[in-house]
Amino acid sequence: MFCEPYKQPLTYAALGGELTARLQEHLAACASCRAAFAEEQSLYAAIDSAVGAVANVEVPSTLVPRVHVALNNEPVFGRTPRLWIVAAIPVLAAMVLAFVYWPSHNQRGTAGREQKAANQPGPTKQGVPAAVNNSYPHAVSRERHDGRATTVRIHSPRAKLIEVIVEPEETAALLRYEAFLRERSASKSQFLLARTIELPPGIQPLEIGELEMRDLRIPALVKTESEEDMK
Amino acid sequence: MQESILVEPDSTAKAEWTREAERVAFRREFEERLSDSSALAFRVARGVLRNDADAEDVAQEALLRAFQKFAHLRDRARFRAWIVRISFRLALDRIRSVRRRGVREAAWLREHERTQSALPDVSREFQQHLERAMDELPEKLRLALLLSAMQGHTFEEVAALLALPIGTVKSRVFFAKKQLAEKLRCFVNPTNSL
Repeated sequence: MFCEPYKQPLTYAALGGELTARLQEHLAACASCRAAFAEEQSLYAAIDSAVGAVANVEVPSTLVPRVHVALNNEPVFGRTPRLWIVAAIPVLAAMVLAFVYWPSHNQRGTAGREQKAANQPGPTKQGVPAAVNNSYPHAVSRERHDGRATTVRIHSPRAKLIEVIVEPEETAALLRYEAFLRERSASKSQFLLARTIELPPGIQPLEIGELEMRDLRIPALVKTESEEDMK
Repeated sequence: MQESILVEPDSTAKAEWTREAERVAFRREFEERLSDSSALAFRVARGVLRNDADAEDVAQEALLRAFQKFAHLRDRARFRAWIVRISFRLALDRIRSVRRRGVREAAWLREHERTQSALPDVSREFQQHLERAMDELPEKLRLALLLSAMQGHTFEEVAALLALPIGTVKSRVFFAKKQLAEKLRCFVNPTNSL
């Protein structure tokens, strides 16, 4: 054991610290401290040696070639796509899909209400007609139009809620087609309901009297028949 | 008369050539550092794992990661310090995962170490005690002790590797040895030291 006043400095000196003249004098005078100091030096030497053996192991000769092979398999500049980019791709795709299909989903959700509104006469609550004309349930109506696409619903008893997504460029053409269908339906109805049409003043409706059946006497045919009789 | 025409390459070809030249220079620069850093990476990993095969795997992984991030390293002079940190962290992760995998593999590791060791019995026993005691050291002290024990590393170099003041490194090494001495005192006979 070290003498108490010299314990710290001698321990430090055994670890490789400075051995001052005062410590050397004490070691020369104190046999107990001298023995303890030798033990400490021996202990730390053993530790240094063992730690040195751990820290300086021989490097396997296969390490560098292995790393070279692995480097050759690395992509250019060793830059692999960052994980967050890889993870973001499906999320982004899902967002795009949701954005594209959101209008139709939204419309599908309110389809029941709009169908009811379309079957009732008069405008809807928002003042927008649910259908172009309730008298013509097969007509095409434009119900929704945003910046990107126009969704058109055809109210048909056979096919419920057929949805058509139309590009903005085709909107005008579709509207013309809608007007055409409306006119055609209107003219057809007018033809069927002609008796109820009010004619302009001065024009009388055409009245057809009883039909009289007469013989059709064509001169050429009559002549031919008389000549045959003479023969 | 034969006429030779020099065709100026378009911008795409120029960009491609530039990229290729940069790639080659990048690879060459990394490989220059690889030759002296691979041993450092391996020894740091080996000091933690005490197993050559695992240490080699960890060193390879550390060097690959360093290559992948090499372009982002601003101060290339700190490459060795960077390798030390990567390798040390990966080795700690590896040894934790091994511990999690269970006692069976740990027993295999100990047996593997025992058969691998070429030291005499007494020295080998002390070595095993020391390595176990080193495992119980705090990470900071262990890394400082390992790096200072590696051949050719002065305290200044260790301080540069760990980005610490020299006084801190000396203090860590001192406390690491002191803790080891407390645990190993009973195993050392002054007449039979290594």
